[in-house]
Amino acid sequence: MGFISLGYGTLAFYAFLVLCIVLYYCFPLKLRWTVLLAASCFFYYSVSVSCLQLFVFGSTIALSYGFSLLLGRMAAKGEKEKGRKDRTLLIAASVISALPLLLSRFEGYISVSFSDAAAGTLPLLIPVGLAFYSMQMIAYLADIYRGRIKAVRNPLKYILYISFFPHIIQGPIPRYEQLGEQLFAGHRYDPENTMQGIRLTLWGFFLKLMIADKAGVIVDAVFDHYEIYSGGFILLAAVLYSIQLYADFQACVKMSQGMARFFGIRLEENFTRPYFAASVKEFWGRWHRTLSGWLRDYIYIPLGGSRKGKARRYLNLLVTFAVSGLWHGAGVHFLIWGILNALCIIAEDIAAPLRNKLNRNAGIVITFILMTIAWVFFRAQDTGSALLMLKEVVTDPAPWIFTNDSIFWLIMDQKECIVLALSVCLLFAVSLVQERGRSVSVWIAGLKLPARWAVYLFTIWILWIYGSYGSGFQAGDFIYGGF
Amino acid sequence: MENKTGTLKERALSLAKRVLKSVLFLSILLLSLHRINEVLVPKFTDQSNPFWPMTSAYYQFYRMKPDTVDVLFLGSSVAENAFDPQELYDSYGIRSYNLGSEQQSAFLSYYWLREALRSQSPEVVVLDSHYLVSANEDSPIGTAEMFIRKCLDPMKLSPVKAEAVCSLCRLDSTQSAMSYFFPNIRYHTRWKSLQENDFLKNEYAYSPMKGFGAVTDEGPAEWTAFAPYDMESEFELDDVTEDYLGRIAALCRQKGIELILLSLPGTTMDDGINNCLEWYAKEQGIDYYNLGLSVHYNAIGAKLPAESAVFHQNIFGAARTTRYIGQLLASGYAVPSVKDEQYETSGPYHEHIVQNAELVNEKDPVRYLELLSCDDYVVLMTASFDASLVYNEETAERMQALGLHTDLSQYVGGSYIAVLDPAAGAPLEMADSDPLTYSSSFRGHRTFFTIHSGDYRVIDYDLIEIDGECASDGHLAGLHVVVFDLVTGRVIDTAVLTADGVVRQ
Repeated sequence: MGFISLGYGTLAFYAFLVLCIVLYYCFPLKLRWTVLLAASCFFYYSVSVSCLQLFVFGSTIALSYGFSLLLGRMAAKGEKEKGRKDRTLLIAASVISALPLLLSRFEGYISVSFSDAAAGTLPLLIPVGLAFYSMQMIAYLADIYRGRIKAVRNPLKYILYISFFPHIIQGPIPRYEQLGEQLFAGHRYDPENTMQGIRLTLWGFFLKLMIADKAGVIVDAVFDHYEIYSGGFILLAAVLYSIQLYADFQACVKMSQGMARFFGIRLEENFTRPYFAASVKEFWGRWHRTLSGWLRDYIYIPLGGSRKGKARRYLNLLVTFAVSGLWHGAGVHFLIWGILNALCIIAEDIAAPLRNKLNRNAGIVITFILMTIAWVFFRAQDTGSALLMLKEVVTDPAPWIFTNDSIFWLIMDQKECIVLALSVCLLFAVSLVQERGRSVSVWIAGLKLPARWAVYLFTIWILWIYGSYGSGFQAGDFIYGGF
Repeated sequence: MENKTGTLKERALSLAKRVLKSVLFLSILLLSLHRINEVLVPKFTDQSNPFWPMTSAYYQFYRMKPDTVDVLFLGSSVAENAFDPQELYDSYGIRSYNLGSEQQSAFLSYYWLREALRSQSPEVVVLDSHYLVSANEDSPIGTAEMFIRKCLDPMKLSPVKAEAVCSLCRLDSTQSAMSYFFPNIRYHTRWKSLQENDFLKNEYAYSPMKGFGAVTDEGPAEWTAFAPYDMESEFELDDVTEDYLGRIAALCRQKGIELILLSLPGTTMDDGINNCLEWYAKEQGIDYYNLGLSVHYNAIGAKLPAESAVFHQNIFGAARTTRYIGQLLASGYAVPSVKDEQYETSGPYHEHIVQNAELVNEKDPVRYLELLSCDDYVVLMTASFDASLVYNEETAERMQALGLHTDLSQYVGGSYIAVLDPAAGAPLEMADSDPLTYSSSFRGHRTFFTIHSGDYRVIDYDLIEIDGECASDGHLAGLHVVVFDLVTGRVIDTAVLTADGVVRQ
């Protein structure tokens, strides 16, 4: 709909970003946030495909803004003074703000009940970044209600907080107390912010073009036509999907962080080496941390958390992860995926005495296997397909596919596979360094100039030559941009 | 105050340093990416695509001294094969350049003409009609994408190229303008298949043939000249072709250049097309020659099948056609005869290419062995089943002249290997009753080969392999010969010398 396509990764987007950065630092300090506001509005307009989307987005912002002011008045009351009306207002505000998200999640069920026209119209209504900004709004309203933050009175600042363009499409899901003031306080130019922004963006491109999109070639080929592949291929695709999903999501987070950093704004870390987790519980402390935190603070804890006995705790876990599943998608297989995760955490808890005897590395391997099985449900077209695929892995493993070169002639040639393997090794190495508490970015920044430049040049060269882009690739949208 | 000034000065200095570093880094980055893109873009050279070496043709054009080309040839692959600038210079002293390319439609001819006129001031432009009347219908500009890129990729970045790309994308929505300015978008996956000639710019950007693509194959056994019959028959040029043909005519008029429209023998032709081109030429006030008419074709005097002046003309037929065109240009258009070093120095290369063509068409083993005596050839020989089949007094004499002294008649059914490498000095010969294998390299270790001989299972063998590719297999009994031309950097002939003559697999 916008007259320029400003999708992430397009040249037009980076030209737009450069212009925004220049304008930002040209404006007076106190007015710099207006540049971000104008840029975010323009960006949102250009990535929207219909006026209906803009209408829904704008209406949700207006409504949630109104509710935030109302809740702000109630926040002045003490906890004991808040009555049912106040809580009802919070719930109503949250539901209304999240209404487009709820509708979109049940679109699959609606299209069965109503006409195709209804099913065809709904995607035009769903604004870009719906899943992310809805959560952001609910968190904002809840935090105001709890008195943790004060409502923003300036509607333009509120619009900026919701629509800030580096994270609107694909997260992370920010909290107002972390992001709010950063957005509105003008930042002085600091070359280190620019350099860190560049490092983050380059690393994001590496993860996206060298790992996620390459792995995606095999994943898509197998998952989209699993019925023609033996268990060995399905196993390979499942493992690669685990890697692809992480690399893709981490890529978009790094790029978001990089973009924000150019303006001196720091977005939260969303992943902390999740596949180094030794349990599914620990995994969810490292994976999509802003979503996990949101679920913990606004679903799990309000339900009672672990305060009301083991049985209630397990129930709360099931509900929380069911909500997580629904957030990710409308299909039953997403729900099953969420519940599977909850069941794993419950099982870990029950089997804790046994689990404590395992060494950490064994725990890491087991967790990876469990998460890979769960991701099969996440990626498959439906539950039936997921079950058939897992069955095939067990009943027809066909291990010779790893030695007879059939991967290379069937799906992706040997050279591309080698590049993918080396890239994954590099990711593993970097993660290992980070797991030991060291920062690769800080290390690079501390190198002498020629070495630093060599790192940057080498990274750009390998992306230029080996990256998955251009003809023959659909180095397309980020996976989490679809939520 | 002094403190403030000092701080300001420091800040200004710091900013200047930062700007300088950024400029330096960006310069290194852009230059390196430009070099990487040069490597990634596919090359069509005498080595990889000898019949239509467009990459080296266009790069060489940019190396011509300004205002030293008096005649430009434009058109599709048939034009590339028909007009030989060296022949034109040697026969008439006329300096010309062949800017033809595969499937070159009027759109591409126009933009290459515009580009050429930035550095040259020709007196005559000769435009072949083949792709004006038989353009690729699947493409809005009449040329498939692969051939568009072969034609446009070597064009330097200029306002002409920018306009060409924008016009192309306007006419063909499947094209991506960015991929023409950043060819890595289109070609970066070529990293998996880069060859020697992708890296050596001094080799791929060099074409002494000045755009001429020398075909060496024989032509058809016979060909009948075109005889127009129906003067009322009609043919319509498509809109894009008519538009760009009009622009070519207008541009030539504006620059005072004579435009000649020309149809080559054997190209798409019927009464409608002939009438259409005649009418169009008359309308535009330009000359049109249909060389497929008997009056012209007979005057060209090419003798089929050895001298093919039909469709994709071979080097011998092209020589005839070029001399005929030269006569027209010299007498009818007063194109001057000029002595020019750029053409004087390329003569020996042209002669060498002619010699190559003679070799690959030679059928007599004795004469064939004579032609092998050339310091620019590496010759690999091996026996399949029985090399003595071809061995007689005459061939023995020729073999000895090459420095090969083995009496092949002593090795009936045995093994024989010979390597003639000018850089190695004396020829290598090996003969035995048992199977033999020999591996080595030449061209400064750039080309590797392996030769097998004598094994009774040889029918399943690649007898001679060059850089891992089979150059000659064992199906035919006789003396297998593979000739590698050091000048063009490629195998130019694979032949088997048998009792029945020289056979090509």
